[in-house]
Amino acid sequence: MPIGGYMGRILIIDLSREKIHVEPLNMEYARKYIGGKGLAARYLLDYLKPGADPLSPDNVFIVMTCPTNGTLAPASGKYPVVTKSPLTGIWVDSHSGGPIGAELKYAGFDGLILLGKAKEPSYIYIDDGHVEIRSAKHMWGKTTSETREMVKEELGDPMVKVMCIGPAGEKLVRFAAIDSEGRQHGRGGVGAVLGSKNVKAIAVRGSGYVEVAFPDEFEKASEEMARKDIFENPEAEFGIKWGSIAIMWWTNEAGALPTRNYTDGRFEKASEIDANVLLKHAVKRGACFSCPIGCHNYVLIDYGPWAGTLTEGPEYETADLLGANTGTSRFDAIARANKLCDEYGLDTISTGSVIAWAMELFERGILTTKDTDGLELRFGNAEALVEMVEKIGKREGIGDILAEGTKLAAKKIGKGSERYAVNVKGLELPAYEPRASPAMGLSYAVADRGGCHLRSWPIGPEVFGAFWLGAKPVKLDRWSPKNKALVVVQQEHQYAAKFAEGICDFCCWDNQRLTNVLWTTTGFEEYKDVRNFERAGERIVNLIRIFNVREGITAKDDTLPPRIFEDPLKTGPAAGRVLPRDVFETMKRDYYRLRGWDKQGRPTPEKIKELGMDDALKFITWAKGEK
Amino acid sequence: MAAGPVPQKILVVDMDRCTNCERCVLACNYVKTGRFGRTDSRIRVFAWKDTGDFVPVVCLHCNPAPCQEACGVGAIHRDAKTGAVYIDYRNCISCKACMYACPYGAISIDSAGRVVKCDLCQGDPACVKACTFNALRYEDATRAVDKLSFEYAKTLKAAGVAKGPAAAIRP
Repeated sequence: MPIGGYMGRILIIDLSREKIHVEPLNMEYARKYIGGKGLAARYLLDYLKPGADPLSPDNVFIVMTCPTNGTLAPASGKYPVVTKSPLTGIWVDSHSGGPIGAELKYAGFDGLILLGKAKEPSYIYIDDGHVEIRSAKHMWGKTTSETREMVKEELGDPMVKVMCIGPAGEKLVRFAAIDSEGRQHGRGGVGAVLGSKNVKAIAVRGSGYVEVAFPDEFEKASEEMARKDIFENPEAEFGIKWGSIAIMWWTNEAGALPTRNYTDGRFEKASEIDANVLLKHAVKRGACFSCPIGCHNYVLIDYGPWAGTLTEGPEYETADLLGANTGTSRFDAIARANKLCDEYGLDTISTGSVIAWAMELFERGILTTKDTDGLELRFGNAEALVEMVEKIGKREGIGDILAEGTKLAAKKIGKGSERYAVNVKGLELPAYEPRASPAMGLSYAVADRGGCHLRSWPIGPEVFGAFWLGAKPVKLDRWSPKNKALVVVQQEHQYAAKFAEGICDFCCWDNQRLTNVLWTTTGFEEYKDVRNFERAGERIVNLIRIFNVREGITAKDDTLPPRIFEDPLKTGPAAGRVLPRDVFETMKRDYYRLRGWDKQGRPTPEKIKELGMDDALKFITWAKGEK
Repeated sequence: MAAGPVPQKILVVDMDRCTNCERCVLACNYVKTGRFGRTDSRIRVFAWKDTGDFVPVVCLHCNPAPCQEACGVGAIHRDAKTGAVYIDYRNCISCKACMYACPYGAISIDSAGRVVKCDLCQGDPACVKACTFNALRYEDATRAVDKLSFEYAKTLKAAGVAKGPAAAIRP
């Protein structure tokens, strides 16, 4: 039986000992956990000691590819980096559509595992079988685009693909991002982990190739996915025409657009920062590797103090968190802040959220001009927004405290500031307001990496008013807890398996088509059955939950910021609403029940056996929970 | 050497529409080898990601073709039907003279060590089919040029010099 989509080798670099080691890919893991975040979770459990400090040499940093990476499957460019997050202290996987996933496979590796810490600032050069740790002393302090060009220049190869950190990663900003050829692994501080390991960049060049198991069937499955999920799909049309920012119209209408540090769900000036404005400044389109959608826009600002700023984006989350959520209605300031985030290597979501939080603290008098070096840090102050991004990127002044993220910074600032911090498990919330979408609240509370919108996206069916149960549409009441956990569970399975397969969240929502591409790529015939695809998703969710429980997560951590339960929204269709605690607790109880977890939210040995994950049983060290 | 027959269709590379997805590269590599990668592709895309400048490099089938003229063993021919300049491997000795002669750097060496170049897939280029952004087009030559000329004409119109006294002083 042919096997495809895998290269069969994992590259392990021990930076402390400068030892390079190649081990065969564990095909049993690959079959069960597919690839990407699933496979990486299994390796992380093997390699990482429980309780390790995320910024110490003990942490493990993984770049893992997916079986479809490097092929012509539609939108198959996404690959994750996986590690223990310095922002949350738990699991983080952060995906990007840069070409490094594919290139790593062309170089002959399914994944790269970094252990220990390099003696001095270094970068890693992988050129097919040749692996080298090179000095990056002269690159330390450089921005991401400067670093990328320096590496290419130094290696004398314009086609080498580079992922790198900017100054923020070096300075261990806890939400530092990694740049992957202009696309970012944004969330969870993955850039700080590379910085803590003294790794400035990873450069990859591969001259090999990826083969799929059943080429004819693969072509058919890919063609069908591209046609039905992209070219004949009116929703994809949105992404094609405007990019992710198009959704701002919808969230603002739904009253779900986080505004002024999550004090409101509607931004009165949204029309000054939305897709129409972006298109006025758009000069070029861009795409991730092997993506036929191409949702990125490059914008050029040709007026005002930041004239000449050319940046990719802003994407929807960026436009909201750096825009509406800081009360900023100046598109040029958002574009500038976006550019600075990319160059310093910062997550735009957490950066926006932490600045918005500081603005609220300033308005409330908890922070004063003494703390901010004289900056009038008020909502809507566009200059202050841009200035603050720089301060955080450089860890200057108050930026040094904010660089810790809302959860840790609240401990340093004190004075009740914690009450206004908007994060789940330390990860700042993205741009969908849970008071306008209760199921989104559950989604955030139980998401594997903390407050995240990409583990499930129930706001869609919830606002639409129906979801699919098999082939049957079922009505969904927006404000009731009924069936919400079911929607979240279903979506979590799909998203986990889809990301592990390597397909972008913007491409396909049909499990049958996803699994058709998966089995034709890998040759794993059990994935002809869509139920096994969903089961693989369930295995991945459980595996990562095991990791998080091992790091100390319990049911009490699966919660939301106090604001969501206590402060009513002011305007929009959800005006006057909070997310009632009883609604939330009902959804959460349903969720644990559907998952087969105990009341502490811990996977049970029975559940793990039922999923055929005997290899992971040894990680369940907790006593059998109450039933 | 006399110029070959005029091709009916040409491969148009529209850099402004290129998004650097590299699906053309994958499609070319796949159609030639049945595998996904870059090494065997006849087209490559260079990118400056922070400014959004993307440049696909591929054979433009010059006529007369410097590679054909440089070939000392007569291994490079022009397809009468498509106008494609292609390599005949019965004669090719991989001396690489054609690579030196190519003004675009569009001739490469594949994973088997052969000198390779675009042959327009016998008139049905895989890269064009893979390009969903219409950055690569396989078009009737005259119409392709019409579009280009029209773009230029539009700039004159936009500048307001297409009619009135100013129009008269233009060449």
